[in-house]
Amino acid sequence: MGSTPGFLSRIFKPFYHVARHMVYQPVTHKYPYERIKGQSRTRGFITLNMDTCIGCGACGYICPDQAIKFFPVEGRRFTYPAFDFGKCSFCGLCVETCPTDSLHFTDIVEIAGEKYKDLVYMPEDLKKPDIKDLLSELKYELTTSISKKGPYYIRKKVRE
Amino acid sequence: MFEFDLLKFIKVNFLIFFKISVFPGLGFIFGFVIFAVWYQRKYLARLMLRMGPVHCGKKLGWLQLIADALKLLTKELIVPEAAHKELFIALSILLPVIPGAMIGLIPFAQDFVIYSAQGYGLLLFFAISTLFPVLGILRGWAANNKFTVIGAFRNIYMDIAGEIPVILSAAGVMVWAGTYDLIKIVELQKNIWFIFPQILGFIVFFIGYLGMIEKVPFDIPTAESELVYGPNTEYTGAMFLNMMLSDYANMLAWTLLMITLYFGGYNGPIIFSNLIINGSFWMLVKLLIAITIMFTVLITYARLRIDQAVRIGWNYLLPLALLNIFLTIFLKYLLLGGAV
Repeated sequence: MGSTPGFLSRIFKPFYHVARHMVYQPVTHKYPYERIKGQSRTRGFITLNMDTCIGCGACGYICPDQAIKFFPVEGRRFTYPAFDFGKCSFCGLCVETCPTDSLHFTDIVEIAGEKYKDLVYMPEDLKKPDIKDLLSELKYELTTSISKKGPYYIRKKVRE
Repeated sequence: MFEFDLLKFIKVNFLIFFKISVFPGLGFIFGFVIFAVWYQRKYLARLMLRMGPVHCGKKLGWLQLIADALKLLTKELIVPEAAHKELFIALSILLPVIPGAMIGLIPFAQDFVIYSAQGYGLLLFFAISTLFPVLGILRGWAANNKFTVIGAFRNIYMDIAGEIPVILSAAGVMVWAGTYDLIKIVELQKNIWFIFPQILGFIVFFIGYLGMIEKVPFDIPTAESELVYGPNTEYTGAMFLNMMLSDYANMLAWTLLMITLYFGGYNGPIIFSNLIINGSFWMLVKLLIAITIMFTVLITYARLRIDQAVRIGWNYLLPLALLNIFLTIFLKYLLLGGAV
């Protein structure tokens, strides 16, 4: 149990905490120019590996939002899942339930489009998009780290 | 026939013209307000681990405030239907005049002051400053809105609780210096700043000053999260800009008075051979340091309740200010024999 701080401590101690922020880096960043690289568990855009997919339909069956429908792909044997990201709630049940581990989350969250149609991805489009194409102004990708001086970013140059 | 030659008139009255329209008059006040709002945003953002404005202007978002001002100027002026229309509009024009008149009394060098008030500068400063809450309550009443009225009443509570200790602590300086003249007060601080003999008075002045300029922890009248923007809630566009201008100009006037009374005013090591430039330079340096300290206080503490703030004013600051006057008299006349 700590004792109640004294009068002077109550007045001056907050200044110490505020002044400490002067040596920290800002935790916000300039978004379209800088972007935090997502963690490995980030639930973003879903990719499909058509070489391993067996078209069993488990993902479409378990999807609570009916966001997955199946379409044939030219030159391939099965029907493959197409994703409607307008309906998808990124719950991850499809990724979890896939028996052949063909569905994967990526850290790409910049999939907003101008039309509803832009959010519907056919099986052949479910490949990891390049972040450089999505954000034309992006210059740095940031990874977070923590030191004794507080949280900070490691900057990696994406383009000149 | 009477002939008016504008160029000759300006030539004769150039210094007065310069003082009123450029420095330390209108241009300086506008420039300071733009700078102070930008600086407050950037500095507070830094202390909150944010970035503040970054997009307008190539470096540090320096064009943001000019962009904001342009945006406000182009917005529609809306006067509420139930408001007292003439008063509502007139107050937005009148309010920035009062801090402007207060700044006109502050010396920026020995002979560089808009109006020296024949040696009664400090007295006149307080006399003008008392008009500010009067117009403050009128703007709340004129808008005819519950938020503005509550804000205006809080404004009065805060101003009375803050202003009396401020005036009494400044009375300590008057007694110590033996004059009302702001220029003489600054001249007496050539060797030692009055903050050292008047430390108790300064503490009272500083806390009261935070109340006068309505900044956290005493921003009760404008309490943004409860009262929207206090007495200024109904103002839009250019009228809102004027309100913001008056608030920041008020802050400027009181900060300059604090520097003049306690931090040696325009005194400082001679860098420029021209005394006016030298004095103004030191005044601006001290102003920057003072507003930095003020903004640090602003970010550090939480807002007090109205009863807590008024209790601080009446229960603690007022007796301390009176004690400071008695201590000053004791120190000056009994120990030092009347000489400073």
